[in-house]
Amino acid sequence: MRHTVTRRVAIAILATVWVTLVVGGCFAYWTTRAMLLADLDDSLRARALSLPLVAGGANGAPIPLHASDRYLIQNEVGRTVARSVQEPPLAGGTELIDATFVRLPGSHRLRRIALRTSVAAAGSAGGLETVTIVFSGSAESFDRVLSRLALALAGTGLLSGLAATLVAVHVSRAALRPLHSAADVIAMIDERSLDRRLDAESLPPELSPLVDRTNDMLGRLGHAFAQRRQFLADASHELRTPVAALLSTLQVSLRRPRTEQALRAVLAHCLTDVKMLWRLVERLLEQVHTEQRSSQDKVEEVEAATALAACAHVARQLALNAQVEVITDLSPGLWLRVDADRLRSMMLNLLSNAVEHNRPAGTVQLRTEETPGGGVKLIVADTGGGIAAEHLPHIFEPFYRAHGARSQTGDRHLGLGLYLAQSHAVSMGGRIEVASEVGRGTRFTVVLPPDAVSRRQGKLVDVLRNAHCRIPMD
Amino acid sequence: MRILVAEDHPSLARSLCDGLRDEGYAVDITFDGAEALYLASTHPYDCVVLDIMLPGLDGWQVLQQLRAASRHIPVLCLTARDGVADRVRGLDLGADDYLPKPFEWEELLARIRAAIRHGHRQPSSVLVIGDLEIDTVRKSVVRAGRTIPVTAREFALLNYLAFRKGEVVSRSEIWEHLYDMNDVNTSNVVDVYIAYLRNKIDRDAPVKLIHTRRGLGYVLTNEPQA
Repeated sequence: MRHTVTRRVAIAILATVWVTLVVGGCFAYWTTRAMLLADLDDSLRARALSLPLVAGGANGAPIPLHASDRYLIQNEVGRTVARSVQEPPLAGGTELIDATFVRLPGSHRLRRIALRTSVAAAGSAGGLETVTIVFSGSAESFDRVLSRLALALAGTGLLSGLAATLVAVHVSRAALRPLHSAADVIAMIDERSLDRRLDAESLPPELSPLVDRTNDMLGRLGHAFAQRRQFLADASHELRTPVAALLSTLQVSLRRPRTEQALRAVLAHCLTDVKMLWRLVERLLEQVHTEQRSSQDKVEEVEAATALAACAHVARQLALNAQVEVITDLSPGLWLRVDADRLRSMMLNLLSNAVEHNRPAGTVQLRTEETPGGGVKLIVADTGGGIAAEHLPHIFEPFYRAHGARSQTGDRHLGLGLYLAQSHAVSMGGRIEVASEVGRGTRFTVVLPPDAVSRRQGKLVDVLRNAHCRIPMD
Repeated sequence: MRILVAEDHPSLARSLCDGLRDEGYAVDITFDGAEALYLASTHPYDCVVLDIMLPGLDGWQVLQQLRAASRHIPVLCLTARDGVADRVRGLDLGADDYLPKPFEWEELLARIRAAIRHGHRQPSSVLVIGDLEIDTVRKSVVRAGRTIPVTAREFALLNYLAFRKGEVVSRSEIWEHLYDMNDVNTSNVVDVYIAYLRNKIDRDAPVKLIHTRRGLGYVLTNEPQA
């Protein structure tokens, strides 16, 4: 059973206070009792010794006896020499006890002491005889004081324990109450209200780390949601213009009678636009799938040279139209531990960009480089127009286009390629860097960490197999 | 009426151009913001259809600079961005109207007509001069209760003269408002169309509405001349 903090505190306080007070109280009680008893015995002895027979003619005022005092003086042979009116209770047997309590019916309990002393002998002049004095006095006041002390200690202890527990419970609850309001605040947070934060001031300082971390987490969540919202807004806005174009073209065409030739031309235009629209939708769906798929990545051993050569082969098809040459420089025996689909998608994005943004008779270079730390770089360099410095930080943003809008020659660039490529690189634990010079060209470098590189050493067999695969199959 | 379409998406620009020409407007297209600003500053358009996301200068800047130069051409902003913030910004920068994409053609045409009316300070879509009624929506011309069939060009000319009712309009002004950049200015095409209109509207009517001012131009009015 899980105990609440309050209950634990209450039990601990109660136990501590009571144990402490019980121990202390007992100590106080017994110490006081011993002192009072010693006092009682002393005063009994004093009275016993001031009996006339015992004190003789000694100086000093005799101490008067109490009403309830009793005594009995016996000499060595057991003959009673003097006694009080009432019989003191005799010591039991032949053994003499120095001090004890005796209970008689009909009166309060007595304290009886027995002393042995020398007194002047009766009858013989100047002789001393040893006598035993049994003296008992009432222990009533002794008992009364002690019982009051016991009561006071017990009462205080009980009350202190309860009071301390109550205070502890109250303080504990009060200290924890802000947690309830914090819990309420958290309960009200949903994806629309991620900008709320917990107030560290209202909670005990011990909880500050928890509050800070929770607020950080809310911040990260808010950022992620904001990015997602932004992406969706950008995406939906990107879809509107192509849709508007289709709608407008079709409406205009239908407003008047048209020749079959004119209608065919319109249908052809619309077909092109629909295909482009579909490509955009596909990219958007890919992005959604990318996010969902992270947990379903199939990380496997991929031979870099083979995989990249296959991508280069696809890029060459594009390059044919653009009169661009694709050159590869791939070291064999380099193995990566990545999701093969992501690698392919990422490299194809970069390669197709490099081909499309190139100049006629330009080149695209694809090469691999191992880094000192055990990681690897996959480099795609083109001889295109380059990207201006002010655009470079933004090119990985979704739908960002360096020209701010679509190109006049028709929109083959949806603005998502680099964004997706970057998200693939990040899922591999790496990143994509870009360097560009306007008029000279651009170089994209995929930097992958050692984790993405396989420890598997390239074998001769692999080199041979690699060489065989490098021949493109058309 | 002459319209400038500034839109960089090729298909959309083409369909806007074709559709508006079908409606009898003279249309110039541009794909670039800087060019849009230049054209709008140097030609007397009756309306500019302006996309916000343009290469070169973006639509906001075109609008801002147009207004800063006191060009009062009516501007209809066309854009895929449809947040309230964007609409407010467009209107505050001086746009006369704002239409998000995708749009319905009927709405686009109505808003353009409204923008042109505002530009010419015409509250109503039916222009009345004497017993001549010109319905700019239905593209109909009625004089003394009798409907007069006119061609699209004739209607455009009559419409423009009616907007400028009572003012003398030169031939070159007429040309600038009824023909776009692609047309070649033949010397007397305006005179020819004025003659067609007179034939249809004034010939059988007691009161002449279309008047010539020698050396200055033409004027459509039913007031007695000074």
